[in-house]
Amino acid sequence: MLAGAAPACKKPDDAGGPADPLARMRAAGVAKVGFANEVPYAYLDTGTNRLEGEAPAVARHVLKELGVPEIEGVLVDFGSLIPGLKAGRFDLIAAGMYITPERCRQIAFSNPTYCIGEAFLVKKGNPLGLHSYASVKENENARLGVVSGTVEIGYARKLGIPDGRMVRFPDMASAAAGVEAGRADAFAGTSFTVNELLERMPDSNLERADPFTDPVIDGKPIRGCGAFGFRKDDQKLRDAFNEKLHAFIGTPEHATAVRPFGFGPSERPGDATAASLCETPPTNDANRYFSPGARPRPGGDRPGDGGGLRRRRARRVCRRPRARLSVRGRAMVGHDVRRRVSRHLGAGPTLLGLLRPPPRRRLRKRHGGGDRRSGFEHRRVRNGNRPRRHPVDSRRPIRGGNRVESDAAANHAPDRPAASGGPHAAPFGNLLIELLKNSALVSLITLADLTFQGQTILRTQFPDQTPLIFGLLLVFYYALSRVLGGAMRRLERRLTIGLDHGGVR
Amino acid sequence: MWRWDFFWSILPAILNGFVVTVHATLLSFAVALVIGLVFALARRSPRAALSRPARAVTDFVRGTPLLVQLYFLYYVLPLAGLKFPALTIGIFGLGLHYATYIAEIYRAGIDAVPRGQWEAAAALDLRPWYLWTRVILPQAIPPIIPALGNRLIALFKETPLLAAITVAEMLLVAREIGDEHFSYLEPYTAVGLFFLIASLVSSAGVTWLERKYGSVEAAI
Repeated sequence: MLAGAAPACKKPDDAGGPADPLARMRAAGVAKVGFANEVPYAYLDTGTNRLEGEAPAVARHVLKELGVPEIEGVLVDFGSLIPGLKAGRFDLIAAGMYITPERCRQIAFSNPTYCIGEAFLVKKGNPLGLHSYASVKENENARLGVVSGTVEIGYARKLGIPDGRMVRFPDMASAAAGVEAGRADAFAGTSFTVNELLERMPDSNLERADPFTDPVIDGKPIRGCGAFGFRKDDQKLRDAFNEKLHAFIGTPEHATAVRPFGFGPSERPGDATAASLCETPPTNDANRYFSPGARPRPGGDRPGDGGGLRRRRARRVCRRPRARLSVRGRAMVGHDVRRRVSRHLGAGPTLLGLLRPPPRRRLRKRHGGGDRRSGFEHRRVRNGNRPRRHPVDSRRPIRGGNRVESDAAANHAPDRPAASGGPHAAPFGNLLIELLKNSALVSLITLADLTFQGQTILRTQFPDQTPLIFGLLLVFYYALSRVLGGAMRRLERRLTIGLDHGGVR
Repeated sequence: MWRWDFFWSILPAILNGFVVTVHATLLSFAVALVIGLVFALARRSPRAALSRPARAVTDFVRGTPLLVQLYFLYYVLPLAGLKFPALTIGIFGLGLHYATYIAEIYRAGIDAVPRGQWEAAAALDLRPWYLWTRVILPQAIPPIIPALGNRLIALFKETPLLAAITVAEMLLVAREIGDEHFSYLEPYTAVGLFFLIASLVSSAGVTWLERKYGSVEAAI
């Protein structure tokens, strides 16, 4: 299966699975596609739980032609699409991603499936009169909302909008909510993103800036062209894909497939190709970042570059088959882990806490009241974990008693609430609840937990229901932690009784 | 795969993020200290009208994830007409969240003041203001300073959550750099290093505080 499909010069068993992804996908009957939940390019319809959008529609057809009947979506942040692809978390990017020279250096693009212009989403009436990137630049008070990792950041930089006046949102719906909430004065996106957001937020206080002047960079108006992304190793898959794509684009079937998402004849890519769009534009500082180089015409003014790129790419198929890329790929796998680790440094201080010297021995000895339980508790607080509400609650009467009748048990121990019974159950239970709450953090690495689901629903179905969704999330978590807390308290009481008789006191 | 020149070139940007992180930490800790005291006092008030809501609020805040609270504050408050910059929201959100925990520490400190002190104050017929500011709090606070220090470190390590609401603190800066250069190893390593160094330094500070205030003699 593998040998026949792989290029002769490629080591078939090199790092990470079969060399020919197409054969593998055919065998599995399913292709994994990365998407970023952007309407209308690629998004999850939470009603039918089906991947929808322009890119999936085209991908479905083309992959079927290639003998892969199904596609399976892998949802990631937009900025994680390229690292995710390189790390092998999916086979191709089907997110309507624009072709830019910077991205071309990282991945291989298919030929574009559509080309569109830019737009601004602004508050109704456009209070600051923002009709182009230039007008944002000129107005000192105007803040431009962008989504992290998108080409709009490159446009804005190139056109001289300072970083300080860009507000970076994690996704489109947040950006729209941000504009509505006045966090940014305009959101820069493709005209489709903006239209689609507006359509989904009928009651919002937003509109599309009209008229809007497309940014002009290096004398050429910007029109972004979106395509599918492949690993550079998967040239063969890319070429096969291109072939079927070429036959498909422009057919009535194609028009029918993408019309529901708002793509019409004016969005046809024409004769733009990946190679022409990958050309490096004239360099200057801004090109370090996302390049604005999407060009409407192929061939352009720097044919040498395009040819060089093509030649380089042609060579790469045979030369250094995987080694470098697989190293990079692993680095990208690592990046999520690292992100998680840094989150954990942020959230779970236990390791450092344990490394610190043991707690105030002097105090414990002096007062004697701090038995091994309070010792335990000292460590708990020192570790930076939170004093819990149930130990305190369960001890309420005792505490009141202490204050009025005696200070014997109180000492000066700051973390006295913990001197309650159930020395072990309570801390473990507390950690369980702690964990429940910290589980919200995994949404940041796009795991589909409660928070992430909430955000997904918000992004796709009800971008105008922000308060409701987040309110519901809060209530959910609260209810869960109440239930757990109640259970812990019961457990604690039981264990306390046992220990009291066991002569701890 | 590890590129030193890239590492050095991004360090200034990460350092800027670090400044924002420290700024957010200190301010939100100040907010937490103040709100926490209010919560602590309200919760132990004999008046149900005061103690019940305080308890409900602290329970709720502690029972829900900080991340969701931040999202809520960031995206929902403005719809109610309250517009603050992201950093302000972040400081307030972190402060409020930690206030509920700090309230507990305060309460422990207050409850630990010997009964005789309360009785003496009652015998001298001190007004509540003097009772609290001259008798109770001066004895309640020094012993809890080490515990507060630990809270400060914990809070410091929660600040990366602010990245979720577009505050350009260290983590977000690193992520942006990663997204731009398609290289996450160096930026995230730098962030981890900064956090590690800052945590180690501040825990040394807390150890020192403990030695200074940890004993009863120092407390009184």
